[in-house]
Amino acid sequence: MIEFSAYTQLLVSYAILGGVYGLTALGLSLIWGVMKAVNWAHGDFLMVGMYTAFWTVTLFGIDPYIAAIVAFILLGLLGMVTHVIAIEPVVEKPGGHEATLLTTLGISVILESLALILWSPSPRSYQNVYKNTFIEILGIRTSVAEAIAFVVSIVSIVAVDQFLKRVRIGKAIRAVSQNPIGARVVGIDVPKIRLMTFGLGVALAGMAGVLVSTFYPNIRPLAGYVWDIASYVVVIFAGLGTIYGVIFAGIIIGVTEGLGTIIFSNAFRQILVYVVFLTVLLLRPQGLFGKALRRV
Amino acid sequence: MLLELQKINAGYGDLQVLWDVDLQVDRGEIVSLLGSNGAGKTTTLRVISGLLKPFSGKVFFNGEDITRLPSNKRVEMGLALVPEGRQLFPEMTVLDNLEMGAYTRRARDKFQDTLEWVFSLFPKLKERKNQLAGTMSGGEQQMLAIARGLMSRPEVLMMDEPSMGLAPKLVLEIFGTVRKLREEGVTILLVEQNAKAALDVSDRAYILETGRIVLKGPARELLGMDEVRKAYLGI
Repeated sequence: MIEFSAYTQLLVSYAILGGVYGLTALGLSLIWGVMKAVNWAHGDFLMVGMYTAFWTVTLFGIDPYIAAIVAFILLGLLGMVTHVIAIEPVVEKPGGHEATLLTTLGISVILESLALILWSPSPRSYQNVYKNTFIEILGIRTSVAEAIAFVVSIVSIVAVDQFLKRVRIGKAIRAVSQNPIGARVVGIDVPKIRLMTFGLGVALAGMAGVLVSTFYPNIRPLAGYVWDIASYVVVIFAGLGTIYGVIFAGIIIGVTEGLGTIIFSNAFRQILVYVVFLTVLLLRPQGLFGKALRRV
Repeated sequence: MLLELQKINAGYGDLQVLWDVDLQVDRGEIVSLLGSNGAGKTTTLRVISGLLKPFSGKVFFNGEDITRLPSNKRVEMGLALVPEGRQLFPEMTVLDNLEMGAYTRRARDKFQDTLEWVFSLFPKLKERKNQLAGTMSGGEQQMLAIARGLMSRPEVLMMDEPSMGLAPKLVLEIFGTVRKLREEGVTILLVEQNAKAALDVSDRAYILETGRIVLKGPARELLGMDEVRKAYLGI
């Protein structure tokens, strides 16, 4: 019984992590939907978000959840600058979508190198009360930091969905992703929508970075790498362009990682993720929640 | 002159499609651009709407040179396109598609009025306003595409083969709508393969052949010309 509850505990932790995977993946999914660009630097933006939390909390002593707002704005701006440098110049050229793979890889290398130079490779963490305070829900103990990270992730995903469904600019984002030519024909400034979407996607990654940093005491320049892989798996698993799919896919991938830890070991936990991932790709390539690609 | 093309040369990469195309549309006219498949009709509309930059030549709208303006600015000025293949937003409702049609500042404030007007032209769309555009029939989608174009409150509405793939009854309905729109003061540039129907509603027409304007004149005169009847009307 003791073992059983320890396992439950572990799986819950990973499910919570999965919620944050969902938030990270949402940014990727939006960017893919609107400009068919793959953002290889996504995890590195998450890493910058972690450092944003570290520096604002340690230098100014502000609450990490205020740092989440700071990171959202800061990374949103960084995302827009990146878009102007790395995406917009190539995205409409022939082969442009493939070219974004290379340009964002370049951005990834730059961000990681800068972080190594500026902040050294040694892991950092900061003190906060949330990770040392625990609550018990339905017999499962979790830190307040993890509980908040999960709730904020889900709420953010729902908020983005409502933004896309109700706000005019949000609808324009969906319009561009459903039919870029139709969008230009009705007078939507498509390059501007691309810029805003890339900014939003990166801002979400930055916010996710702050949330992770509240309970994951391992802030380092190469921390984004794991997140890249996990969030790509979540995006493809959910099916491109489905918003609520990322919540479920995120949690499933999180729990799968947890199961991997139990069955194999911490170091090999992602093996199981890949197994599930490849199975889905083979059996249901449109993703669990996505619709099959079709011509309309 | 409301819309004017001067010596437009355009194409895709090394492939030139249009050669020195001159075209004029006056306020209140219905003008048709006719020609067989691949003659350059769609390319002409793409140049006018800003989806394609010409190699050379100029496009004027209301006397202003708009050759270098992006497409969204042209819609803002009152130049709307109902594109080939409709290009609707399939996962959005009819109403959301229409709202996107009124995306420009020019159309935004008049959204409710325009919506009522468009619903009076196409009552079926009102019934279907909460349906996803992608789930409608071809004819309904064409209605929606025209309605979406009208939502931008255009001075000139360009239509690219609105009758394509539709049943004869629906084709009649579409051309009836074209006539009605002119009465409401919308200037229309119509691209069609259905030359007879297009000439019947038009004031003037241009005929494109392999990227060059080979004939132009009042629609009635063209209808009476032997070469037109043989080549395009199948008489």
